[in-house]
Amino acid sequence: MVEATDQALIKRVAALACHESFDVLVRRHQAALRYSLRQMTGWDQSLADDLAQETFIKAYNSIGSFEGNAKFSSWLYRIGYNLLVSHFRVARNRELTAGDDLANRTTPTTRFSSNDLHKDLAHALLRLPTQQRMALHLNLHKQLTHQEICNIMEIPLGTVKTAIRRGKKTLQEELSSWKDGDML
Amino acid sequence: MSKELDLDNLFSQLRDSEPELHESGFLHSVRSALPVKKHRSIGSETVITLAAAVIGCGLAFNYFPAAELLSQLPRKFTITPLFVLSLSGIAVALSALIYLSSESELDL
Repeated sequence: MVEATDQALIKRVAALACHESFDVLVRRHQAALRYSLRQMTGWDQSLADDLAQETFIKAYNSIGSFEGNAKFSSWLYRIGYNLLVSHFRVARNRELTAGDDLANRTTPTTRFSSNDLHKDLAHALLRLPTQQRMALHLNLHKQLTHQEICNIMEIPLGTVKTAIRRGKKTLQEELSSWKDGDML
Repeated sequence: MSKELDLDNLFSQLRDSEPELHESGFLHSVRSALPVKKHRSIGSETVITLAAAVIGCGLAFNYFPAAELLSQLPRKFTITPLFVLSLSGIAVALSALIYLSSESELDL
């Protein structure tokens, strides 16, 4: 059976508010988005799923504004990234008001087992600023080009390149404590 | 000096072992948070359709000039080669248009 394209499903959702078509879009894109958000939130599953849910609801409500010249997945990542940034901004303000140190609180002191490479890396990524974290994930994990990352994060090309370079450097330092041959 | 980690290799391992995140609970939570579509009951839909049909019939009975139009119909037809050619030309053009629109998702 031929599967409907994202574009055809989006048209149906925009024109008819078709929930069934939107379900297909959610099924198609949820795993990748939820995984990325887990990587961005230090593998906080409930926070990542909440953000992913909010991303899809926002996408549904503003699907009429989706321009077909970008991939639907890129558009979802853009919404997700904006939600992530505002979440961390609010969280940081709350922590500062409470006199707590967010960096110390979110940095793990223990390592997971070698089977939990995903969680280990998610925790290491948490040391990076949100912009660098996202740029690095999209570049190294999702293998997107700098231009695609620009479009998703809505920042200049030079800023993307700098964020990736600095992110790589910080991540290298962060992971230098990992034993040789343990993971790689 | 500590050996630098190969980030490309690390992320390649991550891609290969990316866990499968099942949709069931997540899909349900998204669906339940979507704005509800406004549904009319079958009864009210039937009443609206019937009322529209009755009004339409009344208007057509009163205002549609059926007798005039019928009187303008030609009493006899002459089929000429040019008529047949024109008719087949129109049929071909229509078929081509329908085929083109179905292939290219062109909105007509």
